[in-house]
Amino acid sequence: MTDQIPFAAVEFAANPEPRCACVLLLDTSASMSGARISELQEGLAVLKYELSQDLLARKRVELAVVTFGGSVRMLSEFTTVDQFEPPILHADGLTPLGGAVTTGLELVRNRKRVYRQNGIACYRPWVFLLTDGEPSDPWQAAAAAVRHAETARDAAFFAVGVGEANFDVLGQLSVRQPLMLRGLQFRQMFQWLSTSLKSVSHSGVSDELSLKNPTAPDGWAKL
Amino acid sequence: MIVYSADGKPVELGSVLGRGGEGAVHLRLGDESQACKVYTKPPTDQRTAKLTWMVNRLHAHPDLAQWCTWPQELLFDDQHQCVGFAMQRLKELRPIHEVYQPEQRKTVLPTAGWDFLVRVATNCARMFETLHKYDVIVGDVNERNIFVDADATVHLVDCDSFQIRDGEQFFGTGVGVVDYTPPEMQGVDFRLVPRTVEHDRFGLAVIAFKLLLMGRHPFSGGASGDLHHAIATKDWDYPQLAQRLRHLLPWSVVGPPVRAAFIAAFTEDQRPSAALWIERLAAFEAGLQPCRREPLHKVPAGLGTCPWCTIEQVAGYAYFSRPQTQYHSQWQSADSQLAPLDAELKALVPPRQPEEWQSPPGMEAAIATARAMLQAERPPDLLGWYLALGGGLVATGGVAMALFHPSRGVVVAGAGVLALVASRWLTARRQVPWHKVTAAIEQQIAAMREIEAEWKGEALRFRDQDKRLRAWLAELRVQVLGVNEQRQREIDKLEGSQVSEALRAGLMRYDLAAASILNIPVEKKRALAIRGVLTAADLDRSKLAAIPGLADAQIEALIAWRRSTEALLTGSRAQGPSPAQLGAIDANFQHMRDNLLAEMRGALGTLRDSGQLADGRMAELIEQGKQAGLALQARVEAARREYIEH
Ligand SMILES: Nc1ncnc2c1ncn2[C@@H]1O[C@H](COP(=O)(O)OP(=O)(O)OP(=O)(O)O)[C@@H](O)[C@H]1O
Repeated sequence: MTDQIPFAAVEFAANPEPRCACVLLLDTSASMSGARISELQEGLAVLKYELSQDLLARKRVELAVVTFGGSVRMLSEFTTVDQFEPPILHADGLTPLGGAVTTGLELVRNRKRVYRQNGIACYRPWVFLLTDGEPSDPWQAAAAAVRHAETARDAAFFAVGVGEANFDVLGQLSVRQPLMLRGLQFRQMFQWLSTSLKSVSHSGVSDELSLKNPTAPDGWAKL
Repeated sequence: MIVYSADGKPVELGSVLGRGGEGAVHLRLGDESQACKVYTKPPTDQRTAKLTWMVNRLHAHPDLAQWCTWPQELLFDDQHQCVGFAMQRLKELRPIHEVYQPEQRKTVLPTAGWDFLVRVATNCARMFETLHKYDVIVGDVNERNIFVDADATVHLVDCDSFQIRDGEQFFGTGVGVVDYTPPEMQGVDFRLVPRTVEHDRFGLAVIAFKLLLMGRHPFSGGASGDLHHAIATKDWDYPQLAQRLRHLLPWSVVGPPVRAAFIAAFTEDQRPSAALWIERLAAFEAGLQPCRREPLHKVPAGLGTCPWCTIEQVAGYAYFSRPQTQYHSQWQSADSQLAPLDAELKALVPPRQPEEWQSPPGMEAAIATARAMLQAERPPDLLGWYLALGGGLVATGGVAMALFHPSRGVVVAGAGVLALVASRWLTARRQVPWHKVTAAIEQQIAAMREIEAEWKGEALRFRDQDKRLRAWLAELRVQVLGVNEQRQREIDKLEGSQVSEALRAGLMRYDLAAASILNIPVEKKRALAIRGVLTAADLDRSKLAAIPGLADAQIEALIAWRRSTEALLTGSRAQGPSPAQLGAIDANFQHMRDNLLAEMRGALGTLRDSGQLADGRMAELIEQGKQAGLALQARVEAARREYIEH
């Protein structure tokens, strides 16, 4: 044991609630520009709004945002909802999807380690991927990492395709059934995500996810 | 919306106080001490029977409703179908998690110390005790259903989910939260297995632990990080964890009887009853004393060092931050600081005025004599003239004589020439001719007049400078005195804004999303949310008018809702400016005034220097004048002697 005070300690002393980490992997490649990116941007605001409505989720859910358009960029590190400011998105460049997934998994792994170091309980972290295209980098290793994380219950990985997304690749990436967004229903999708995170962060059950089916006729997704 | 009581009397529902999974809780119009829960879906017969039993039971045991919002009266629709129930309305909706989370608690209850948290735990035990006494089991113990008042009393809501057994009759709970569920019930379907008092006791122990140990769940340190797993395997390791993590409260700080109760509850399945908790927690609270440094640090008697101070030092986090008590302003009027400056200013005599010119001694007299002499006739040069005349005659005579007697004639002419030369020599010996003498005297007089003019000019200059400085000092003095008022204005402004801040804070608790407002569908609320309109506090006409797609009627509906919410809140106590804010104001204005006073001192110094400079310069000119007078006098004397008296 060293004699240094880990900075994180203060954060967890101030708020010792169990945490539910969720990293959003958002495709911001050039093809997302226009209505897609602006709807996505509003969707982030909806997510923050919906989660803030819940006094406990506000202290328990931690959001991080990683974009991949041209390069993989971490726009927002893990922060609890009450301190989360949706970052501004810009659409540009290719689709380094594989790199983004690897980064996302690594982020949640590291975050979990920080929780454990500080004696903070946590729910299974979520990695939520959103893409509208074709990976422009190798993604097979990322797919293996996802499979590994899911079997070890290290993370729950969700993949959502928009427009011309390569559904085939998403199917190979994700253990769970990937979903196709209906039209531009980003807000409905983030509302669903918020409701799911809220219910996860309340139940205390990290093993089983009983989520509202987003592919119901009134849902935001289709298979 | 209108519902009906059992005897058919209409009950009007007011604004929504809260919303749950099963329905909405409204204010009861006409009786604001009551709230009405109205289910979204009509309750099952089983649920109606449960509520009926509860209402009846309350008549026999009114104390059931002492610490919870026990149903007091059933509510029906116009078809006599039960739609909900009336209960006591809770005024302070502060969920218990806002009290045990340290940072949140510091905001919502800034003056609460550890003793307060222990008291809340004791009161929770009292609440359970009252229910357990009548075999009522809470079942779904969780941090959202317990509300804490500012006086540390607690109330349970969601009473219609209590588990009740009465002879043959059984009404279950069916739901639960992992965090408060004992090991033997982890992973069990709550709809199938009835709850026992033992289960409630586990939940109570968890709540007490969170309150006493700074919001930490007793099982949150488990190796897996997973609460369900940690509880199920009784992986309770707080004492070790607190050794490793220095921001945690050391286990030894908790009194031995309370410690033993926790250990029994979490590891030995001998969960203390609510009654035992009351006893031990009350005793523990009684032994707490403030630490010497910080009154908010409550420490068990007999402990050598204050654990809260220690944590602040080693971990850098203050679990209890010093409540800023009453602010005692050191502010004083500036009179005492102005008095010496005023005295100094008064002692500074303004410099001489130009009109006060007084000629240096002897100067005017010298000028007068000079003028008198100059006005007299130009003195004749008699000797020279006679000599020249005589010399001329003698010389002429000598030349004439030389015709007859050349040798004598030459001598006589020579003498005449000599006399002529002597006359020239005499004239030349007087060096300065008269007109030159008078010119010099005139010049000297002019120079003296110039000295006078310069003196007056200097006096004028110094007088202006003096006036300017004195005006500046007067201006500064007014400013210094004005600081008092300015400070008061600032404080008034702050207090004014605090009143509206208190109302604003109140309005912010009313979420648009949770409110049912006529004409405002969910999508509209979302559209509003995206534009930053989230709570009643955000509703104002100008803001709403700027939002596209909002009909006038909708704007009116929103404003009306804000008004009704405001009406609920008026009387919400204004906090008044905080000591820190007042302190900052004082410091600001003190600084400002100190600057002004320093400037005054500077100006006074300049004034003093300028006065001394003026005095010196004036005296110097007077001296010059005096010397010039003497010089003139001497010249006049000499001239008189030389030209006139001969
Ligand atoms: N008596 C009351 N006075 C004031 N507000 C209340 C009262 N009862 C409940 N509320 C508010 O309404 C909210 C919902 O109440 P309650 O928990 O009873 O609803 P519910 O539908 O049973 O919720 P859930 O089953 O999801 O916990 C509470 O969180 C609280 O904010």
